[in-house]
Amino acid sequence: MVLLAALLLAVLIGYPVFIIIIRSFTLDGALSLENYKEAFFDSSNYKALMHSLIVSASSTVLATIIGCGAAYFTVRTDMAFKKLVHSLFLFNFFIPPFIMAMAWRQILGPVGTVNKLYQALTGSTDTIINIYGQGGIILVFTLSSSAMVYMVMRSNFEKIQSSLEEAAVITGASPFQIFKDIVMPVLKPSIFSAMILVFVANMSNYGVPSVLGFHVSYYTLTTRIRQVLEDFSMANNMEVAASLSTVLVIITVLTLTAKDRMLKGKEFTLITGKSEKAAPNELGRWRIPMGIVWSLYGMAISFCPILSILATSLTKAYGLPFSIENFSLKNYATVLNMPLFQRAMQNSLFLAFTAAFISVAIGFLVAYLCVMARSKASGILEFVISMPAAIPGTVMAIAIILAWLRPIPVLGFSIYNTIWIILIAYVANYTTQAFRTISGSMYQINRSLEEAAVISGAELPKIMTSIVIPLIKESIGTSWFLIFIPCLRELTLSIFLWSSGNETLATAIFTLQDAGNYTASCALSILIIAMIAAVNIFVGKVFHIKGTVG
Amino acid sequence: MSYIELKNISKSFGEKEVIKNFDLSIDRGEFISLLGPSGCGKTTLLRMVAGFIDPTEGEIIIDGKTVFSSEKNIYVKTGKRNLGMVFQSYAVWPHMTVYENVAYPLKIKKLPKEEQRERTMAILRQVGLENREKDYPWSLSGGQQQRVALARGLVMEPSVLLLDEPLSNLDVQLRQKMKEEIMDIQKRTGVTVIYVTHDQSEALQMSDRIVVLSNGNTEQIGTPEEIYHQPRTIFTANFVGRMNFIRKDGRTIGIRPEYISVIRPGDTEAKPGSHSIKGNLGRYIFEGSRNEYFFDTEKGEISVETPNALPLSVGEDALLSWDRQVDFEEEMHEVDA
Repeated sequence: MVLLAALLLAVLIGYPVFIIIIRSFTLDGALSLENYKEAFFDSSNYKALMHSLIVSASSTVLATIIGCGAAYFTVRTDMAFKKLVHSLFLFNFFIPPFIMAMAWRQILGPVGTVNKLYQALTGSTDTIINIYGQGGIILVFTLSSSAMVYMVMRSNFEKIQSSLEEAAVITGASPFQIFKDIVMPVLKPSIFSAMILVFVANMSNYGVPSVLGFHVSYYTLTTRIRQVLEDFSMANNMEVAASLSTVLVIITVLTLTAKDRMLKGKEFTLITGKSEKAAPNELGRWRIPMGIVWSLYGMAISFCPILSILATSLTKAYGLPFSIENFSLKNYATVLNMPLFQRAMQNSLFLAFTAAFISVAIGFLVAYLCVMARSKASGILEFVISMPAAIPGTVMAIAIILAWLRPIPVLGFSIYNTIWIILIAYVANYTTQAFRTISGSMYQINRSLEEAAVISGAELPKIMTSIVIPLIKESIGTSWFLIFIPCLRELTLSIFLWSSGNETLATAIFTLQDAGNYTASCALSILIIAMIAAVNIFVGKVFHIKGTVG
Repeated sequence: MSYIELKNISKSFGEKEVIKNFDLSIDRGEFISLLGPSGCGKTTLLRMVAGFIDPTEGEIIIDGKTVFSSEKNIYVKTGKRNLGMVFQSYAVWPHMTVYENVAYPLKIKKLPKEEQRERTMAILRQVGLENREKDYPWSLSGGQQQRVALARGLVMEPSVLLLDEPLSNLDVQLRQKMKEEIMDIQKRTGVTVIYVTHDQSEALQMSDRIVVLSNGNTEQIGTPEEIYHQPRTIFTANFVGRMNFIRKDGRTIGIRPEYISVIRPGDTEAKPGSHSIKGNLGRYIFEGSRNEYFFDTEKGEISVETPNALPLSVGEDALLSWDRQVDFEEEMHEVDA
C-alpha cells in the first residue's frame, strides 16, 4: 500500500515539481543559470515581481485592519445590524475574486457606472476614476480578502477567555483600552497568521491581475509568467517561465515557513472550559453609526458587485442603462443554449466530481498510512502531499504543462490539450486538502478507542471499517465538498490548461469577456454564483457546518 | 450599617428564578464564603456584586455607596466599584509581564509612574514574587500565576476582594498552601473578602462566616463552628461534613459520625451517653488517620468515625451511643449522597 501511495504521489505531484525545477535550470538541453539571470535582470520581470509584492502587501494590511475591525464589532460589541453585516461578509465567499474584479470594473472602469454618472452630470468626457492598474488590483484584493480575515478573526474573538477581558473591566478600563491592551495583543499570533495566508493567496492569484492589469500592461508575477509562456518569440520562454515560477514558489514557501517558525509556541491558550461569554461592549451613541458603516462596507463586498453584474445580465445589450424597457432575460436563455456553456458545465461538473473522488481516495490512503498505520514512510509521504499547498496555482499549472506536454512513454499519446490534463492538475492541487481534513479528524480519534478494539482482537482492516471510518465519515464528506466546490469555479489552473472543447465554467466567462459579450458573461457569472451558493447551503444543511466552503 | 449590604436580591433568567430574596450583611475585614453545589447561585451572586450581571430586584451597597438599586434605578459600572477579583482561570494576561499585569489597574487609574512602581512592588513583595516581575505568565507555575492574580486584585486597595473558586485548578498539595497564603494576606491587608467555593473544607478553614446556598436559597449563615455543629437545615448538615440521619418520634435527628462512641458488649466500664442504639457491624473503611465503621441498626445504617481502630469484627454487635445530636424540624426527603 505504501508503494501504491508513493507511486501516485510521485507521479501526480513529485514529477511535475521536479520537472519545473529542472527546466528552470536548463537551457538548450544543458544545465544553466541563464534562465534565472533573465528572470531577475529583465526589467519586465523585475517590475512584475515588485508589482506582486506591492499589491499583495498593501491589500494584506488593509484587509487585515478591515477584517479585524469587522470581526470585533460584530462579535464583541452591541453594534446595530450585526446579522446583516455578517450575512454580507458571508455572501462574499460565494463570489470568486475574478468575478469580483469584473464586477468592480463595471462600476469603476473607464466606461463604468461611476464615470457614466459623472459624465452625465457634468457633461464632461473625462473619467474621474479608472480601476485598471495597481490601485484597482489592491482595491479588489482588499475587498475579497477582508471577508476571509473577518471569518478567521471572528472565531478567534469568540474564543478569547472572557475572564481575560473581565479582569480588565474590573480595573476600570474602557472598552477601547480593553481592545487595545488586552484583546489585540492576545490575538496578535492569530492576526499574524491570517495576514500571511492573505499575502500568499494574493501573491498566487491570477484572475484579478488578469482582469484589471493586462489592459494597461500592468503585470504581476503570475500574469507575467503567463505572458512569458505565450511569448513564442522567446526561444526559451518555457524555461524562463519555469524560473519565474520557481521564484514565486520560493517566496510563498519562505513566507509560510517563516510564519510557522514565528508562531511556534506563541499561540496563547485561548480556549477554556467554564468561562461564560463576556457581555458585549456597549457603544452607546455609536451603535447605529458603526452599524451603518459596516453595512455599507458589507454591501461593497457583496451586494454592489452582484447588483452590478445582475443588472448587466438583465439588460438587452451592454452599455444600455438599466431600465424597464431594457430589461431582458434573453441573456440567460442565450447562455443556457450556448454550446460553450453546455460544454463548460459538463466539463466542470465532470472534473469537479472526479477530482473530488480521486483526491479524497488518495488523501484517505495517505492519511491512513501516516496516522493509523504509522508507516515509516509517513514523513516523506506527508511532505510530498503537502507541497501543493505552498505552490501557487499558476506555478502548478506551468509544472503540469511541462510535465505532461510530451506524449507519455508507453502509451504514446499526450494528455496536453485534453480534459485529462486539467483533471490531473486538479487532483495534484487538491489532494493536500483532502489529506489535511481527513488526517486531522483521524488524529482526533483517541488512541484508546483503537486500543480497545485491538484488545478485543480486531485487526487493522476491521478497526478501520468498524471504528475509524464511522467516526470520521463526516470529515470525509466534508473534504469531498471542500474539493468539489472550488473545482467548479476554479480559474487559475484551467485558464492555463484549457483548450477548445475543454472549457470550464470560469474559462467560459473569460472567453465571453474576451469576445466582448459582456451581457452573457455576466449572466454566466450570476449562474455560477447561484450554483455555488446553492451547493454551499445544501452542504451546510447536511453537514451542519457553520462557515462556508470554497 | 455594615460595610457591604446585599438587600433582598432576586435574579431570574427568563422564567427561571435563580436567586430568591437574598440578604447578607458583611462587616469590614470579614472573610465570607458563599458555599454550595454547582448551580446554587453562588457565582451569580458574586458576579452581581462585581457588576457583570444585574439583579432583577434588590440593592447592593459597598462601603456606604449604593452601587445598585432596582427601585431607585441606580447602577454603578463595574470599573467604578473599586473591586478586586480573582478568577478561577486566573485570567492573568499572557502577553504582559508579571509587573505589567499587577500594575495595570494603577495604570488605568492614571497614577504617576513612581507611585505605580512603589505600590506594585510592595504587593509583589507581599505575595513573594518581587523577583519575577519581568517574567511572563507562561514561565510561572499555577500557584505563582494565582498569586499574580491575587496581587493584581489587591494592588488598588479595593473595598472588597472577590474570589471565584480560585483553587479548583490547582493540585491538592498546592491547594492547602494557597489556602494559607490567601488567609495570611487577608489578615495582613485587612481586606474584606467574598469567596465562592463548592469545597466545604476551604470554606470551613478560611471563613469568618459561611453562607450555605442551595438552589438560590439561603440554607444558613453562620460561623464555621455554627455551620458544622449546629446546622439548621438538613441540606446544610449533609453538605458540610458527614451526617447520620434517623427518624425518631416523628422528627429527624442528625448525628455526626465522630460524636458516636462504640461500646462492645461485655465492656462494663464504659458509660453510655444520653442516647444509644444497638448496631451490627456491616463494613468499614480504613483511610489512615480516619476509620469509618458502618453499623446496621433498626433505624437504618449508621456510620461512626474514629481515629483509632476498633477491636470489632464484621458481624459483631455493639452499642452505639452519643450525647450530641441535632434536631431538625424538616421532614427528611431524598438527600443526595
